[in-house]
Amino acid sequence: MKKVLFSLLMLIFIASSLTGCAKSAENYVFGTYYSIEVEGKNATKKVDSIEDILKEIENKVSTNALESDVSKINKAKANEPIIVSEITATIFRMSKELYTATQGAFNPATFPLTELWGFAPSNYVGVANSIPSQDEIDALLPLCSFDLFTLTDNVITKSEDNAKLDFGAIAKGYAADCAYEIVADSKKAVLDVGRTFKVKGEITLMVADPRKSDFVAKATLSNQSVATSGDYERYYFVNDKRYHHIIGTDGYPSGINDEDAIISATIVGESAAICDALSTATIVLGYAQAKPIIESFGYSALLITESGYYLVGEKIFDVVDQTRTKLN
Amino acid sequence: MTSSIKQEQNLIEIYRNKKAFGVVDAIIIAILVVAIVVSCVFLFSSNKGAYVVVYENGKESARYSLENNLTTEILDGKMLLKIENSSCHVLKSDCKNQICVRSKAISNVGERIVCAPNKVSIVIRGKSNVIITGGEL
Repeated sequence: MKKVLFSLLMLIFIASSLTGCAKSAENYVFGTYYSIEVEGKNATKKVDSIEDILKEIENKVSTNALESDVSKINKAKANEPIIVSEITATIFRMSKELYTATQGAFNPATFPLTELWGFAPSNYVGVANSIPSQDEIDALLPLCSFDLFTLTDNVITKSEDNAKLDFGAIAKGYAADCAYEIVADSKKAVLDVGRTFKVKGEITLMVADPRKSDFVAKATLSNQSVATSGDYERYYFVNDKRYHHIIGTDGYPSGINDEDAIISATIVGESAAICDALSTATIVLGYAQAKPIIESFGYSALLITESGYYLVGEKIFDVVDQTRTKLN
Repeated sequence: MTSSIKQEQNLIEIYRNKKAFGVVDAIIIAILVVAIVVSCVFLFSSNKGAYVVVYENGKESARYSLENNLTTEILDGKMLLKIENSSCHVLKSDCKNQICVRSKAISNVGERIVCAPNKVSIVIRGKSNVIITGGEL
């Protein structure tokens, strides 16, 4: 009898050890949610460290945090030197490289136009009665060049008073990359920062339809990142026309007069920051110009239009959508 | 020496008279078996038993089975949640932008509705090795 009890106890211990240590957390950062799940040794400690890092990055680069480096830069006058943290300097340097690589399509300096169109975190309400006039857009366009900003050592200056920065299109990915360094030796981890993911281990990815409650495609990710940008994230309708938050080089939301516009761009690759930035740049550029850039990074993409889709790079997506046509 | 032999004889008698299988033994075994079965079911089940988890300001505040049909207040009455036909959506919210109210109903593990102004996340959780990207938040 004692042998039976002992055997059963051993079975219990083995079963419970198979589940492993797991810890999760869910909260808010960069004006959106984050969700962290870590399995393996020291899961709790790792989750706590990741939450600290997310908060630290937010404190440095959020446009909403009044004392962040970005807020100080945005309030500064032309040529006023602003000393920034290593985090901000790193994101700035990465952004400059991606600004060049995407021919200006990824541009952290469009914040004045973002505010004008009502898509900033402080003024987005999801409805509008009118859109900005051409004169208003023309007045702000010259301010929206990333070339107006320079970084020397850890000092950022701008050459125009009202030029403003917003790292929203890369910060989530950068945060996920930083968090990944903590879980790189974990059994498994899923890092989700506002739907920009970096995953340790293997997982199934489902790409949701930007227009209806359904899925367009699935893929298997292994130690990779994924980010999606699209015209469904922040938008409003005026006179039955959709206006969204990804501002193009002409000062208007990208692709609003293009039937072949990309409405959702999902990028898969190693770095979450690069996936994040490329997904935004792809909406601005459209398929033909974005394709060679995505391929030059060795990344894969699923680009969705109203009626079709494009596959770019290594063919990792299994498209399940029966309603859209393959365009390439 | 005699007393130790007598002690041993007493112990042998006790052992011989002891029941092979008592009520307490049965209860312990029953608990252990149930524990093993439950943990095995938990380990090997997939998307069945999906449930809705509500997070308010980073802390889990409520949990509901997706099989329920109910309408309930969350966030001290500032938001109204409805679960029906194995899906969940936000009926009402006091937030300025109403993005959460306009969000699609969620039903798959990994889907979520987010009310950023109220710092509320409503997430479908369950045993599933799936992440969801894209689509309306």
